[in-house]
Amino acid sequence: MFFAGLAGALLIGWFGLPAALYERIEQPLQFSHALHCGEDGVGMSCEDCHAFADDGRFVGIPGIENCAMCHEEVMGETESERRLVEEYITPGREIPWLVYARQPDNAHFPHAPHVVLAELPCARCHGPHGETTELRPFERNRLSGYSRDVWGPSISGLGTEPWEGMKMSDCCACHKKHQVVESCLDCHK
Amino acid sequence: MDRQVTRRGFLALLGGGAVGTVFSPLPWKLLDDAAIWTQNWSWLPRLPRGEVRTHASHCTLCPAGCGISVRTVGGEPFGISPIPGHPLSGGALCPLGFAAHHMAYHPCRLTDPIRRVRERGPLAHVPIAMSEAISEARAWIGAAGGKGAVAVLDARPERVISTLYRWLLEPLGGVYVAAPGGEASFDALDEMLIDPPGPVGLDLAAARTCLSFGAPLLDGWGSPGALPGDVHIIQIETRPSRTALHAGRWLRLHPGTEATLALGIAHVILAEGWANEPLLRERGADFATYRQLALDLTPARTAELTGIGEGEIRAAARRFAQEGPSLALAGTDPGGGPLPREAQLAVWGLNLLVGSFGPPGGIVRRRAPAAPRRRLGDLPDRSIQLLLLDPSVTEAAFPWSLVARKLAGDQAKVISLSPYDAGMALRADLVLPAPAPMETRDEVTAPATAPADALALSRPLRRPPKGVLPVGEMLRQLAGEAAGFDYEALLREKVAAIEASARGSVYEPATGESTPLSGDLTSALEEGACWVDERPAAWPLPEFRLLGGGADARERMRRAVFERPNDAGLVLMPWGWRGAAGAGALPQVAAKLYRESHLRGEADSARIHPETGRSAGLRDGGRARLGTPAGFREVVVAFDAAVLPGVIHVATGPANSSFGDVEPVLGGLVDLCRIDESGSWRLTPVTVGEA
Repeated sequence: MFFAGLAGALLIGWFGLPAALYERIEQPLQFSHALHCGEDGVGMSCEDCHAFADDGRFVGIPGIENCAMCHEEVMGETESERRLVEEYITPGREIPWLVYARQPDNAHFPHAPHVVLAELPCARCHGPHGETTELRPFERNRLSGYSRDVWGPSISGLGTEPWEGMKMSDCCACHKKHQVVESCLDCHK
Repeated sequence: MDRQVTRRGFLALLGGGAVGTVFSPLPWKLLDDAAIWTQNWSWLPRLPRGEVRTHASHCTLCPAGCGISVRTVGGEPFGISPIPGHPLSGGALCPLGFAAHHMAYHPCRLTDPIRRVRERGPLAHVPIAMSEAISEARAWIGAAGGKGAVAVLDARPERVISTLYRWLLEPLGGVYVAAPGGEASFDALDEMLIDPPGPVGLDLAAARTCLSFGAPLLDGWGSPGALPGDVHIIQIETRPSRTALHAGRWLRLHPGTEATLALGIAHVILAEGWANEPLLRERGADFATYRQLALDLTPARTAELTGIGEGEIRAAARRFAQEGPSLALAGTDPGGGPLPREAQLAVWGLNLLVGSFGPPGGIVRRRAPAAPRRRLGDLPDRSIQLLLLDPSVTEAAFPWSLVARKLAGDQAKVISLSPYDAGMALRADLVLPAPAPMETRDEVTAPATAPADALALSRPLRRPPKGVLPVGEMLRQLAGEAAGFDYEALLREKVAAIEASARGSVYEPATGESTPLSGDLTSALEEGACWVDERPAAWPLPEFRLLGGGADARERMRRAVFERPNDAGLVLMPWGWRGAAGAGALPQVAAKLYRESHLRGEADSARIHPETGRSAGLRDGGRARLGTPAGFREVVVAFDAAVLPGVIHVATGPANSSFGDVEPVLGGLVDLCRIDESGSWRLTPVTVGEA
């Protein structure tokens, strides 16, 4: 009986919990990063859409006007592009993307010191997201409300890749590794 | 097969389940998520999503008026940074200013007026409606009869809102009073000059040598950023302050001997012929008396009284006289209180000796006429029946007894206009909620020590809570909605008068450049510009009395110089940081910064020399009980070998315990202090024992 209880608890903890904790929500639209900036894509780079503003701020997800620069009219045959043009670009609506890497309001993460000064590649934190052909469902933590990407794909929190996890402990580990002196107010302003 | 679950089997199942749970992510993950869940409660303030914008504005937390760049998202301020090259702040910003936008969410924030109910406890209060509060306040103002029965205490007297206070007081025969304390008092300077030329300022930016009698020049004193890197600072103070430790020279004098040292330095200047004596004799009504007094005080005697070596005194005097432009400052930190009158006279007088009145790098004249005001100490005791406290008063640190003895006993009423139920507002019978920083258009003027007048605006970047009225509107209602009580119109008039003068320059934060005033100043100020007045070209040395007025001026100075104060026993010396010296509300996150930096542990602690501490039976880190005739207070003991034996330095301002979860605390360490006849509270005999 002991082992039955042990096995049951382990099963619940390792497999039941993730299934119950995370709510899978489809993105409002599909998007292929590979098509836009992959080797066989149209030759764009990350910075074409995820750019820095003149004052050094990272603008994050591009607005619909950015998409409209190329997709004012339907160019291809995909359902996603048709919806992009008809439902968003033509009526001028922003796409309500669900941002995998959204941090809590109390965490201040400036991209400029990391990308420009420290020269970290985008993939260091975002993994192979820039090579994906479609957007996976957004997994929302029912308790905290945050994306699963903040914790990392492994429910144990022990990732095998450096980009798995975007919690404070991950930030601190990287800072420590690179001998960056930090204090609470560096990020919690 | 019939298998029944036995009690043993059930317990084994539970045990296995417990062990399995521990070795699964379930408890740890849920614990983590539950912690995050508490950050997302619906009632916690959160930033809206929206456009990120940057607005140039000015900080109003203290009189410095630092230029700030405020970032907003969806119309809500979320970040503040300094404006490099700003004429008032030079790109500096203190930790409090960085978090000024948090003040709107302070735990002591008031959104409704409150009436104090003392019968239920010293801080008990009930919320009341604004209309009821205004009616009650008007009734109190009407009931306060007689000349001088109504008074207003204001810590920033050069603003348009100060004009409205004066208008409110005029038909009542009331008195407008500048809040005591502050960083630099020019009262003694005004007294010295027989025909004062008007308001003066300090041209620190052009000075080469600065003899600072306690002014924390490197801690944001005066105009932050105005101090050039190449000025030689001779810091004269008892406490091992940061300015003292970073100054070119630190002269650690015995407590209360500033007047002695100043006159001792005057002795060297006069004896070695560095002063223009013919001119001083011509303009100085009492120069001969002053000269004799200074020459009687030999460097050896000065050294004996002040504890500073003869060689140091001579070196400081020679540097001050030879390496000009030079400035001697009778300024203090905002928590320490003003220097006694005679010390101020002796220090300001040094500037007369070396010709630092008028030329660049010295004491310069400002153009705008000084607004009329009274000093609290000049009012008769028990004369005030109704006292109105401006929101700026909460930033000042002074013993409440200084005000209390002017109030007409228990019948006197105190009304505070304050965004928070903290600091001086806790003394009020009625508190009318004022807007927090960045909730209304506020006027920013140059600090009292600045070399030229200035005008800028703090822009309204978020809506005040419903029911909170701008101070100007509250005054209009208190005045019975009298005609002319229009803050915005008065501000426009002030700007129009500056435009008409076509004087001064306008600093544009967008370009980082100052250009001569021309065109639409109103629009420029709305966009975060700062107007700075031009300086008068020449200022002939006015006639003066180096020892001040009064028949006993010589005798008072002689006593102040030759008698060593408090020769025996311990003395208490308060001090405080600008913006955090009073017991008012502080930004919460800045408070964390204070805790994390070297400032941690200063508030509610007493710095004592180890020998002094041990002889009193104290231990480092332990608790001590300080006692003065004004009361007792427990503090944390911090041994510091740089502190003079026999001196106890205490930081005024909110205690560490109130930095986090704010509980209103009535009074502070400054309330232990004794007020001398000139209104100074720098030195108080104190007893100390283990708590």
